[in-house]
Amino acid sequence: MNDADWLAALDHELTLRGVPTAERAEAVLEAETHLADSGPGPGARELFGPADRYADDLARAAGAPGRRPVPAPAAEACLLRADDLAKAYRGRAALRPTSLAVAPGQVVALVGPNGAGKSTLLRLLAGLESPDSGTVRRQAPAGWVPQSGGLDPHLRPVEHVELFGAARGLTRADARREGERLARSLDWELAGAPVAGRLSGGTAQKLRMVLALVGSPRLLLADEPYQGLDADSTRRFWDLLWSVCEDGAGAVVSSHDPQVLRRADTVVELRPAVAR
Amino acid sequence: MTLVALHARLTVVALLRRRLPMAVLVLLPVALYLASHDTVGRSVRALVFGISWAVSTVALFATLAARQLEPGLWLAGHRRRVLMAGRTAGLLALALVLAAGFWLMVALDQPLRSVGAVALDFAVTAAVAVAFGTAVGALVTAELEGALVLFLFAGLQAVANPFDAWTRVLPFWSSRELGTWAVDGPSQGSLADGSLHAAVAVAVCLAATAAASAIGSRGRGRVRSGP
Amino acid sequence: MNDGTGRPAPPTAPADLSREWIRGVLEPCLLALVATGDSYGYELAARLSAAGLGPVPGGSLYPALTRLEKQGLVSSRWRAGDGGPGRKYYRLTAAGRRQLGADVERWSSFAAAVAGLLREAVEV
Repeated sequence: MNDADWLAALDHELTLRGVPTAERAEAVLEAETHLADSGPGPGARELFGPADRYADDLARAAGAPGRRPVPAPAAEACLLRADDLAKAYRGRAALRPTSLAVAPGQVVALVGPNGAGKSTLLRLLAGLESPDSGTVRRQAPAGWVPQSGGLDPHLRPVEHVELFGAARGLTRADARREGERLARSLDWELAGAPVAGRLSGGTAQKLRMVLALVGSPRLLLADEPYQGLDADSTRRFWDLLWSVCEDGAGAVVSSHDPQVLRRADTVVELRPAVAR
Repeated sequence: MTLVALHARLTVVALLRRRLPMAVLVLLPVALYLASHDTVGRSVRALVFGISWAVSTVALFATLAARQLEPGLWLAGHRRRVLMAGRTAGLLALALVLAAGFWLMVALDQPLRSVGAVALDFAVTAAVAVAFGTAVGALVTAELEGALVLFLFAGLQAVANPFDAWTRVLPFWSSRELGTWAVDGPSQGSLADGSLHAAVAVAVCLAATAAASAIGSRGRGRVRSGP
Repeated sequence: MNDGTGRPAPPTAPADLSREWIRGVLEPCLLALVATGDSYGYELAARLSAAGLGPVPGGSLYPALTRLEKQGLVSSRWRAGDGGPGRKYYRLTAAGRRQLGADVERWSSFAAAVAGLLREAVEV
């Protein structure tokens, strides 16, 4: 790892520990000048140690919240709370022990490389799979945006909307009206759309988002939900998500999109389990 | 109740939109029937095979489609039991319509000993097929493999000697027994044996479906909702 | 959440004993150094080293400076460097000066106590 990489890692690690932007920038710059003053010879890792440990020390010294405990809202206010969830498939760890909490209005971003367990964690949070250890406590029905599937290829979008709206107590007419409003905010006309199996990937993704949001659930679980969308649709998509959360819904979103990281209240970084 | 009705309706709508598979499922039994038109017994057996295979395959399709759709519906607040009830109601309605069509055909075309007995045979076959197709749908992941499994069981029943004791483990043994009873009279087939076998087959299929979905969602009890 | 601090610290070699000591007195030493004039991190490290306190890694230095600043014992200010990026200069505050006075007192008595104990052991 060269010094530039180390400095980038430091910046990232400080972000994860909730160090405010200005202090973070200063800390990185200070390390950078120190390295420049030291001249060639020992690198950043020799002088400062591993970036994550140095970030721990700095964050603690600065009184930042740090990586632990997770900024945890009061238990009764949580829409969703997970403690030390872990999962293995055939003895191979798919998710290392992970905790998180979502309060109304909060967006929790899940980041991490492929294989770090983002989708596994979301399925555990949704209750679609059971954890090997740990507990999930969910207060409310949720909207679920899977990466793929989740639709009946032989039903029309309007019929999907009626079905999902009915789950949340909407009449068919109300469900259609709300579905059309949501679809329009994504620049899509719901009425007259062909069966789901004939939608393009991006449009199917819009339908998944509409279904997750029809009936205004208080919690949204979304797995890389912008996949297949063009730039404009992606922007509309995030605008819709943020507006829903501003109205008091909570969300857990796995994503690589820097937008999410900027606007998320909490970033949960998952790392691939170490092969043993 | 309206939720069950909505789900039943959409189950049927989604199946009827699959025009080509549905046409094959209806036409194959008709083709077999026409090929065995010469004797009453063989032609009824052909239709029973057709109903068991076609209806169980339809149930398989609906079950596999539901596996995609239902997780989102559970999370949205639909109860699993309601979804299952709606899907089963839709499938049963579709199955009985199909069976009634075949029954009408054979009743008009063949000198049946008892049209009522054949109707009972077809109806029971349709019900067992819904249960069996649903169970297989809960156990397999792809339509093709599921359809082949169903073809195997329905076909085995059609060609095996029904007097061999081992054939009683086949899910559609009751169809054959009731068919014999309907066509050849109580001296050849037993209404009681057939009905009992059908009831046991449905119970076993329901248990297998419940077990498969319990394994698929093991430990869901740890997810608590509500304060 | 992954535990970023979960890795065990490398074992301390016996030769690193002076590093253990400096960790305990690093903050008073830094206060003493900035008391003689505003200074920045790298210069402070160099002066500690020149004073015979060994190389102090940045990984210990800056968290200590951050703690001092959070306690209000030093203040900081960015000054443009010569062509390079700016430097963050630390200055002793009034509170820092009082703390330094107290630290000098406490260190003197502590060092005397340790020295007395060690000398006794040698003389016996």
